[in-house]
Formats: sequence, structure tokens, C-alpha cells
Amino acid sequence: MQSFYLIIPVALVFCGLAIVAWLWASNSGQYDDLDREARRILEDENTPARRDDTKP
Amino acid sequence: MVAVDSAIKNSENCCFHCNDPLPRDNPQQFAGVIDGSTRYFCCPACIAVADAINGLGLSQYYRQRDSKPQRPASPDNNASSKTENHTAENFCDIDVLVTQAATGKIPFLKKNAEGFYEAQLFIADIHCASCCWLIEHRLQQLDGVVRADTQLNSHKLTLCWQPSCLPLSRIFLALHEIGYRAAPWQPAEQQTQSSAKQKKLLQRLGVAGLLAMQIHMVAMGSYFGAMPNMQHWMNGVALLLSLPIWFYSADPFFISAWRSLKHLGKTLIHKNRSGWREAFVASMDVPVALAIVAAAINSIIAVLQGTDDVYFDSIAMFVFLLLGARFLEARARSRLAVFAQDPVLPQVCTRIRDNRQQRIPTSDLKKLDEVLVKTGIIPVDGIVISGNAAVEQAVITGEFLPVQKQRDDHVIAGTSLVSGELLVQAQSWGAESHIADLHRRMENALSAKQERKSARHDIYDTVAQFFTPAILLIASGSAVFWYFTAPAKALPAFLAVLVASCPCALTLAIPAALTAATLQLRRQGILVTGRHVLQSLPEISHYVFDKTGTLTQGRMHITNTKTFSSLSAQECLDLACALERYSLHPVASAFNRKASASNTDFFSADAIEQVLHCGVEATHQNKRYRIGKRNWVSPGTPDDEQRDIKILLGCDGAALAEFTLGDPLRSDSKSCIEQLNQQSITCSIVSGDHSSAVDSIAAQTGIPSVYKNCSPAQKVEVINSMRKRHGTVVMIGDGVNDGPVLAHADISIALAEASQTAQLAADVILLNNTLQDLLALRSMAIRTNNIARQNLAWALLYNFSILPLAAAGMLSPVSAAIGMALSSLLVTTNALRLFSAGKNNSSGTH
Repeated sequence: MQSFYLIIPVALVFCGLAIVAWLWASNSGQYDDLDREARRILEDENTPARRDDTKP
Repeated sequence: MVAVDSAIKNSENCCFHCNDPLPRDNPQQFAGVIDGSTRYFCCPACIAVADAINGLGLSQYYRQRDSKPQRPASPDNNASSKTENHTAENFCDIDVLVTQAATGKIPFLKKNAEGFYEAQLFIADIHCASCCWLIEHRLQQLDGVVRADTQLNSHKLTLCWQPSCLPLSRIFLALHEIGYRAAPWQPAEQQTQSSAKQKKLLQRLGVAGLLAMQIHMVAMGSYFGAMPNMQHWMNGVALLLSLPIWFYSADPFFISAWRSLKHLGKTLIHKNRSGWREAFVASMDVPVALAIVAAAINSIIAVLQGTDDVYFDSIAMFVFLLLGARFLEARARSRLAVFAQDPVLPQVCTRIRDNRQQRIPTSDLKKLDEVLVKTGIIPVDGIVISGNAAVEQAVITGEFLPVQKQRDDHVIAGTSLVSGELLVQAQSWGAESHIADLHRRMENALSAKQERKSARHDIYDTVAQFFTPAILLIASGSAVFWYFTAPAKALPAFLAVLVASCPCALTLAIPAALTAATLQLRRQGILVTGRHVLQSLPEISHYVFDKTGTLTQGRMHITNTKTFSSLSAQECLDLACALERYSLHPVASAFNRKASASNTDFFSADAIEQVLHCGVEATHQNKRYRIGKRNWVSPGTPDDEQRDIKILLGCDGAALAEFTLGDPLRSDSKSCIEQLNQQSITCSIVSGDHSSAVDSIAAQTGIPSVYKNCSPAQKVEVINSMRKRHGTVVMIGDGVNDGPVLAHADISIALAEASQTAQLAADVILLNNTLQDLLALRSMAIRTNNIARQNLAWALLYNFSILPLAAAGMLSPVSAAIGMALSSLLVTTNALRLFSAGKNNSSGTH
């Protein structure tokens, strides 16, 4: 049981880090669009080759 | 936007690209090969877009997407030089703005630290995540594009590129080819505010969630009495973890409670008797704040005294649930995508100075500058100096037949020039223009409406109104009782009652039902953005309709064809289509939709000539074909001034055929009105139109009361007088000119094809563009109100049945926490029933 005196403060530190990370991520705009990002993982990633046929 | 289905099924009778029905007479008329298999389309525009997407190697878009796009707006752009020039010219304007970016006056453009340009663009046609994918991948194929990021909820494209290597107009063209229209990003202030608010709410929610998990971990031990000798220390840890929840996450509740208390104090001091009732409006946050404070004080006392009566876990859960409910509710009603566009006026115009034409941003204009308008939307309010043109003023009048403009006539920015040319002396533009003023008036009306709404009582406010005084009364009652029997128990009992009154289920009861209903409606294509809509809709018994574009289709259609020669009706129609191909006149759109792929190139583009105020003519094999006004096509036939437009097709002065054009009723208008009447709802028409067409529409739909020839201001008067008579009214409209009247109605509804202004003013947007959804909306509102009442009843029952226990000092923190969680779960589950209920209903209406 004595180990709790160590484990819980460690948990607190991690919790604090998690909150800092959360606020940073949110402030840097990573949660601005919840609809799009939720689906990105389902998209195929084989990007087609670069081609630029807009040039006259 | 929420996905309609897990995958769009391409049934055999629907267009492969937009899922609209195929042409009925010849479903295989428009065919194309996509990904190796032959597909059928509804129109040339869809083929062009699908071909472009396929040709670029992006055809997996069709496999990924889960909702259908709208039919591309403009006809194919690579078939003819004339149309292509037209679009390219439109897009070139954007390059004029890019050259001005360095001045910093162009809000949507900036140069970033790496030396690239960054533009924020609004893409109107984004409707699912696959659109974002398609746009990003298409743009990344282009040399010169550094980064392209799209947001689905706001339809914003953030583009980072090198203008020296790739002009912005080329990027616009590339987007146009795959079916998307780009425009500069001009967020309304409301939008910026509401997205900032949602972001803050999400942050508070996240912090509360992370901490609540820790607090529950600590509390779990005490639930089972696992570590009796460490309990005191654990409580201290929980207190530490709770502080951010109290002082950061729960802020909105305290602020709002404080505001309503201050308001109450003010009205009590001024002895404003009608005001004090209103003071408790939106004051559900007062009992919320009271419960949090009481539980916090109780817990702190417990920690200081070394006892175990702590509520840290309950408070954390309570705050997390409430914030979650608020966030989900705000998200369900989010209208970010609709906010983005003000009435779009051209940002670039042609100025004539010293006999020289120059393309400049409209913001650089000076008063009395001379502006040349050749085609498209007129950029300034002003007086015509010279020229002669047909101008369509639908944005102002709702009337889509063009009027003639000549020297000394006034033209209004935002109206569009159909044919001809005008030299205009600029009087006002941009924010000073008439249309911007119309927009401002609408926004004022909207904010006035919001104030009115917050001053009105719904069932929620009524409960909140008596809940707080009742709780305070019971709490002080029990404190007084204990003070005289066992004084030591007085304060704990007082606090215990406040804690037990914690209105968790009560505050979730209505938002849960509203959120579930709003999401369900959104899935069915009904976007509800006003908070009051679902609650007040069932009681409203009067609906007001606009005519053009609401009851009618808002477009010209060929309603009748008469032939006078040996040519068949179809041959005449093909000739007419070929002639009208390049015309911007609203009449031409009726023919363009009928055009078949094979014979539109009958006349070469250069042979066709537009004749101002008369029609179109072209020469083919020494024969002169004309379509347009009767007297011009076949001299000697009188022009008629009927509402139904009759157009004559002729060859060398001899009439070939007569087309009758009209704006027919929507297919579902009549049945919708009939069903509304069955539910004892009365309807009226308010229209800006003065012709007999209004009466005929009224007769066809069976609507008894008709107000015609109304200006936007008169429409507002009509609505206000109806509100006096009927209490509350619903207004359904579509045009820019409907903006103010929509803002004045208690509930305003716009159809998907409505103008931006109308959509901005509307509480509800019917994305499927069918009036039938009015009935679906109403039945959902009725069901939502029933569920909300059940939830309220249960929550109140729960709260008042545990109050005696708390007053007697018999309620332990653990049982309070469990009771709170269970009753919240119950109301939420009850609200979720709205999802399944809606599904049954939607299968019936579609």
C-alpha cells in the first residue's frame, strides 16, 4: 500500500502533461474540424502522381 | 455534414455523379466511361466533371464518398471556346486581387514567413469528407501548390501556393473542372464568434474529462473501503484534482448564474414587476451553480475535518456531463458552413479613366468613377451614363425576368446583367451598397429576434423558474428545523439538500432530446439551427409562403410547345436549344436543361448573336434563325403582356414553333399544403410579384389569403400584423429580398437553393429542397416535445423524491452519485428513442 504514495503523484504528473498536451493540440487548431479528421483514416493513401494540366 | 448513408448506391436510374434521375425519355443519352465501366449521367455537366475526375486518376472518390453532390452549376466548360473564355475571365479577377495582396488590404490573402502566399477560400459545394479528399489531392497534383487543407464543417480551404509559378485563377479553374466553386473567405462576425465559443467549450470539456477520470480512480477505492487508512490522503488528492474543474471547466455555469442573479437584483431594486419573472429565464444555471458550490463546500469541510463525505467524483461527473451535453447540442445546431458568405458582390471591376479600361479592386474605387459592366453581377450602385442592357433584379425584387436599363436609370449592385453593356457612374459599393444595407437590416432584425426569444418562456424556463426558489425554500426549511432540534446538523442538512437537488438529469432532460432530434433531422437533410424551433413549432398554426422559388420551382420551364411547320416539336426544341446555348437570359435556362448532347453544336458559336431586348439569332446555310420576342421573330405578330411567356422560334421571318414558358409549381407544393391544412394549419402567400401568376398559384394550392406586390419592407409589415393576429408564424422563403422578413418571423425556413442571405436568416434549412420536409419537421418537433416532457417529469420526480432523504441527513455521497448517474442515463436513453422514431418516419415520407 505504501507504493500508492509514489504512484499517485506520478499519475498526477502524467495527468498534468495530458492536459497541457490537450490544450496545445486544441489551440493549434487540430480539433477545429471533427467531421473531416474522423474519416481521414478511411481514405486510400496512394496519392496520384503530380500532374499539372492547367497550364495552357 | 453527417453522412446520409454508409455508401451511396448508384441505382440504375440515377446519374453516376450526382444521383439525380436520368433523363426520362432517353436514360442512356449521356454516357461516359469511368474506371473502365460505362456509366450514365443526367446532364453534360455531370459527364464533364466525372470525366475530369477520372482522367486525373482520382476516381476512387466515387468509391469513398458517402453523400451525393449537387449537380454542377455551370455547363461543361471545355466544349466551347465561348463559355471557357467566360469562366476564365471570371477567374482572372482573382489574380487582380492577388497583385494587391502585398498592401495587406485583402483580408483573405497573406504572405507567410516562408515567402509563399496563403489564401483562405470558401468552397460552397463541399458536402462530405470525400470532397475534402478530392480537393486536396487535386490541388496537390498542381506544381506551385505547397499545401491545401480543407475543413468539412466550415467549407474552408486553406491554400498555400506560389503565385509566380501558378496564378490563383488556374487553381480556381482546376476546382471548377472537378465541380467545385471557390470564392474568397469572408466570415461573418457571428461565425467567428460561434466557432471560438465551441472551441473553448471543447477545451473545458476535455480538461473536465481527463480530471474526472483521475478523480473517479481515486474515488473507486473509497467506494469499496479498500484503503481505510489512506482515505484522508486520497481525499486531499481528489480535492487537488477538482480545483481546475471548479475554477476552469465550470466557469460558464458560474458566469451565467451570476449574470441572471445580477439581473434579478437589478429588477428587484427597480421594482420592475414584469421584469422579475424574466430574470429567472435561462436561470437553470443558478441551481447548477448552487449545487456545485454546495457540494464543493461540503467536500472541503469533510477534508478539513477528516471525514469521508466527499462529493468530488459527483461534481466532476456532473460538470463533464453538462459540458458534454452543451457541446453536442451546439455542434448539432452548428451552421458554420452557411455563415460564410455575405451577399457576394464582385471584388473587382472595370474602371474607365482617361479613356483607358483598368481592372481594379472595388475597394479602390472613388465616388463618381465610371465603371464598365459587360456581363455578370453589377459591382456598384449607381446611375447609368450610357449603354443599354437587360438586368435581372431577382435579388431585390424576387422577379427573375430581366428589366431594361438605359441612360439615367439606377442600377443596384448585386443584380446581374444578362445582355448588353452599361457604363455606370458609381455612387456606392461594398459595405455602403443597397444590398449590404439590406443584409445589415436583416442582421439587426435577427439580433432583435434573439432578444425577443430569450425573453419568451418555454417549458424549460417555467421549470427553472420554480425549481430554484423551491430548492432554496426546502433547504432553508430543513436548516431551520434542525437548528431547533439539533443545531449541529443544521448546516450539513442545508448543504445536503442543495447537493441532492443537483439538477443533473433535469438539465440534461431537454438538451438531450433536442440534440437527438436535431441530429436525426440533420441526417434526413433538415438543418435546424435555431434553438427554439423544435420547442415552439408544434404550437404554431400559421405558415406563410413566398411564391417564387418556394411554392414554385423558381426557374423557367417549357410548359407548352406549338408547332407551325413541318418540323416536329423535338426538332424545333433542338433548334431552340442550339440557339439559346450561350445566352445568359433566364429564359435560356429553360432550354439548356432540355438540350441533348448530339445537336447543340448545330450553329457554330461565332454565328450566334444576341440581340438586346429581342432574342437570339443565327445564320445557318443562308437561313436566318431567330428565337425571342414574337414581333421580332415574325413581324406582324403582336407581343403579349401575359405572365406566361410565349417565345417564338422562326426561320427567315416565318414562325416555326411557339414555346410557352412558365414557372411551374413544385411537384410537392399542393400535397404539402393539403396535409398542413389537415393538421389545421392555415397558410398564406406573401409575394413581391404583382402578376396574376400569384393568384393562379394560390388557386392551384388552395391557399386562401394572398398578399402580392409587396416590397421587402411591406412583407415585414404583413408578417408583423400576422404575428399580432395568430400569435406566432412560420415563414418559408428563399430570396435575398426575403432576408428581412425571414428574420422577423418567429420561425423561418429556407430551402437549400435559397440565397445565402435567406439561409443566414433562416432557423431551418431544408437541404433536400422539398416542401415535404416541412411535415417531417413538424412531426419530429411534436415527438421531441413529448420526449422532453417525459424527461422533465422523471427528472423532477427523482429530484424531489430524494430531497426528503437529504433533508433528514440520510443521503450518503455514494448513493447521491449513483442516483445522479442513473437518472441521467435514463433521460439520455429516453432521448435516444428519437433516432429510431425518426427513421420509421423518414421511410414513410420519402
